[in-house]
Amino acid sequence: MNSLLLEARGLSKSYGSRGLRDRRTSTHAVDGVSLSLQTGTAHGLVGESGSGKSTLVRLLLALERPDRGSVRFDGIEISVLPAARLRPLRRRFQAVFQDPYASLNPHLKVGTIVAEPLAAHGISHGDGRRETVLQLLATVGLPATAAARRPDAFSGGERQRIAIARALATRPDLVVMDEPLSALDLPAQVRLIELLLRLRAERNLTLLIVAHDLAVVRSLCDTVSVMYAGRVVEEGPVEQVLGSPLHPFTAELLAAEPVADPNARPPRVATGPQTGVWPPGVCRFLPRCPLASDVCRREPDLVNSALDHRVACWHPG
Amino acid sequence: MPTADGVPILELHQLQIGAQGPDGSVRPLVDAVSLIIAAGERVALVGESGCGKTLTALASLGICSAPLLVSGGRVVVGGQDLASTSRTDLQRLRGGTVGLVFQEPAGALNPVFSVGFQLLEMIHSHSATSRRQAREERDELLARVGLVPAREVARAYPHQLSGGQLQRVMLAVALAGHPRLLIADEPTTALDLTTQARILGLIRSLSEEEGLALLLITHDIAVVAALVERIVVMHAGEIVEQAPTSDLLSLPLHPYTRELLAAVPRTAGRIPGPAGGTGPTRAVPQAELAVDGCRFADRCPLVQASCRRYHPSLEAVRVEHLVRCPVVVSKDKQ
Repeated sequence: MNSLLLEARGLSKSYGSRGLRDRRTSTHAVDGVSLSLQTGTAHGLVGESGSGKSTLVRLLLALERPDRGSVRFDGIEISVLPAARLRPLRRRFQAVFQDPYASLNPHLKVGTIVAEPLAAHGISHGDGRRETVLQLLATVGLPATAAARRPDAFSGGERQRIAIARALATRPDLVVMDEPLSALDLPAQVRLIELLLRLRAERNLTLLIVAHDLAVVRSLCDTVSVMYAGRVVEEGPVEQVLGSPLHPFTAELLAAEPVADPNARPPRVATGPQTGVWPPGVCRFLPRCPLASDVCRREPDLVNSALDHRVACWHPG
Repeated sequence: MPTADGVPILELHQLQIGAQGPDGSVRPLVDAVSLIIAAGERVALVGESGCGKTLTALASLGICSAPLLVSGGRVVVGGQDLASTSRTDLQRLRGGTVGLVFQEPAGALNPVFSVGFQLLEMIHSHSATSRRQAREERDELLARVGLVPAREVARAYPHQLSGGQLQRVMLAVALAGHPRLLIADEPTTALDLTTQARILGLIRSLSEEEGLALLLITHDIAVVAALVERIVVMHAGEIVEQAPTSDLLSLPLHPYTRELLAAVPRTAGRIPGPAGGTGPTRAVPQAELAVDGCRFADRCPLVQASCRRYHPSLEAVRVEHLVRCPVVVSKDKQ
């Protein structure tokens, strides 16, 4: 029933950088990642900072070119497309970023901000465009009077609604959200999740949601990929991956979730190094892994463990 | 609560903070907040954005610049009334008696100086040590917050460190003045789960080792549940409930506290969606404090006619458990 909207195969991207010890190093931000998004589904991407989530998002949005691998959007290979050919496609995939204080131009009125993608893609003019902007504001639960005000008149949650209205302006098929809720407090998060669930149902939107808060993924997503050190270490339906995790890193993430219970153990604090360097060909989680054994000196591939549930670990479960 | 042997490190008495408009009128933002933290005690101040929790923390350090002003009440830090404290003494107090950690460590550090240099600056400003002693102290501080090898980290510039590492640097800076109270405003909101767990664990052990009192400001009760002894809930500029952590979590009384706890979607799974209906769905009223009646009335599931007529007062329902809601207080007494 579902069709494949976005398909990434074997994406890799590395950046040259100068390390702390002034050594020239090359960091594999994303290393051999594949990902498929079906039309109308919501997929979560979780992992620590520095695990490559944001780089992967930039590759999927064709904001950067991969060193290796391909990205197909609705069957079209976009990772090699010249900018001019990419432009008309861009209206079909839009992004919402983490910080609604930084992503909205403080000098522009909200109406202008929401109309920007319409102008950029030459969609509608004059009264028609104004009408569209008001409709978009209404869709995200903001009053028409919001159009004449500037971002500083709005709270964090309202600003994120403005960013969502802007992303929806071109009627995209796919909206990618990088930590859309993490700058908001809990009541604002709850209201925004309600909005996203409604929009998803009404518009048959496909969502890719990057989050470090697992609760957000549980609330919004059907499937999830867990990233560690530039690779996907586990993926599958949310209930399976977050309900019965197979990879020790996923288990560690779940154990680190704070619980509102004074009798609960304090979140488990892992002792291994958090970022780092690993010898090539070795499982990257090895230095932190409680289950490590000799076989882990070979890097495991992502393989099916159950239907649709894949894990890259020699000792799953 | 102040113990017999412990002198309170922070006392807020009926603190009022307002914003002064161009016409001279003062719009109240924080209203009659009274809070006493004993030496070594760990307390969390919880509430959503705009409830006044950060303002309360800033006022505790005497940082309240125009158009904000302390329009009433007293702040006493380590026995010293801030209103009668000189400018130089205030500066010694900030970073000295009271250490401060903010949400965004990257914004609090200067990008053009190495973190070691900035830490040295802090050490020098609070004690007259020789350069060599200061450098030793710097390395010691970095090691204590888990940044090793300290020498190497000291040479790094803020952009070369991760968010978790920067927050550790901020903790080292906060500890440099040997504080007796650490105020941390959303210290882990910008961090991922595993890093958050590490930083909270570090804050806890530092507080235990040093007998450091802690005022943690957060919107997420779950984050502080394992860390503090007492939770104070703020809504619309005033305290609506406070209790020892286990009481507040097992028996939340104020409807707003219950709402905050219902919004926490941890082991329960999903954040309550439209069908769930337990989460707060109505719009947050703009902080307009000059109203008769309960400020939570418009969002409250227990609202009665009298709630809109009289402003409720904070009442004790049992030892150390205070709540500002006559409806639950009368129920509790039955």
